[in-house]
Amino acid sequence: MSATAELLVCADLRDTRYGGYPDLSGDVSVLLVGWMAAADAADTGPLPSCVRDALVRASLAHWCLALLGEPADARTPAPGLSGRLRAPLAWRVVNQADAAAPLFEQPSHPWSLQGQCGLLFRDPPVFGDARLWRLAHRRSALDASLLARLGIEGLLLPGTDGEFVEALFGSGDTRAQWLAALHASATTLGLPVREVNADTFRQTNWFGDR
Amino acid sequence: MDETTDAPMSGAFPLAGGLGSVVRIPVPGSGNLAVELTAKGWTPAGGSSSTLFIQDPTGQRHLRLDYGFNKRTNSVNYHWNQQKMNPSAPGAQFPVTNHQPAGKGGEWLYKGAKAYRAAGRLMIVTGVALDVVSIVVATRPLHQAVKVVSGWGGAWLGCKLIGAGGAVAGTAIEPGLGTAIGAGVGCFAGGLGGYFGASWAAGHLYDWVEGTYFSPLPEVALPAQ
Repeated sequence: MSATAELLVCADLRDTRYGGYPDLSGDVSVLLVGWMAAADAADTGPLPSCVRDALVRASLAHWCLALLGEPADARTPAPGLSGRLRAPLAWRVVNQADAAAPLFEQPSHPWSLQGQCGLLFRDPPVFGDARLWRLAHRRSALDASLLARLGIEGLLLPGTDGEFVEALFGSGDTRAQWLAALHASATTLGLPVREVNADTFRQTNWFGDR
Repeated sequence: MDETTDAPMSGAFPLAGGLGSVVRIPVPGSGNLAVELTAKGWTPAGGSSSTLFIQDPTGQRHLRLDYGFNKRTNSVNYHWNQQKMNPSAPGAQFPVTNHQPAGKGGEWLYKGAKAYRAAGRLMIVTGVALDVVSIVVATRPLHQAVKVVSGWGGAWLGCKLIGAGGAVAGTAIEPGLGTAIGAGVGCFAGGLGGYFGASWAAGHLYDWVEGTYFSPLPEVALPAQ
């Protein structure tokens, strides 16, 4: 078994055990992504580079991707927020897969501690909108209309320990389009993708050692 | 004022007791790892589900005690997560694998660290408040202020130094669990010793400086040109 053997995607599972967004409306389309790996790969890190690349390429197939990063001026707090939410943050727009990789590795936004958030969009949203920062903080209830108002078609969030990815979409069509793009990008990278139901996802032996 | 009977309470005990919740206690010989109770980097509101971190200054290399879904056991439990620690390397200081269940001891440590993260900060505030009161009511406020501030510095230094020793000793007994307990106990002991030691030394130094007088040299007329 290679280090990362297979991607498993599940479209009908909403389970907080896998992390992700805490307060989701029923009209948001969810796609949970997990990856099987060799037992000795458990110690190599939460997000294998091939999985990261597949996710990024799928996201850039039809959309632009923005990820959290450090602002140029670290003293500038996120606007319109108070208290602890005023931590300095910035959105970094990515148009090429190579440019995204370092953003997943930033110590300032640890993927394994769910300190990252990806936005999928076609036309750039208003990045200064406080509602976007609340989304990044997982503070506001998320529904499809909010995504539409913000001009966001999808969100990519690290799940528990950064070892799952929760992809959230404003519509089922967008989810289907992103999933097709994921199949294509993963195939290009030699990574099989299997769509599974909730039971199979829950019972998966992720490291093949049980 | 009778100094012995009317002296206000010292902030030494609460301060030393709370320091471990905020001080980064180094683990010597580990490549700049230290024991901390907070994550490095930004996390969403609510923070991390981990309560204890043995991590480098960036947080990129870490061992952390976590509660939640464990991808390896497919169940929710107390477990260790590690990143870039290379636990299977020969002679690894922390041979704790990713997702390794932490057992009953890990559960107690997790809950203790979670409570202590908040309680420790409250203890520090209490200690500082007691010390400020002691300055306000002292007959020699400057003398007391010098003692108090020196005590704080000594406590911080003592926590780091003795805590580091405790971390090494604890790691030798049980890497991870022992590291954290050793660092915590050492920090408290070092904080207390450092506080009283630095405070005592600063008080004596102040008295010595205060009791030192400088006699003017006798004036001598310039020799005639």
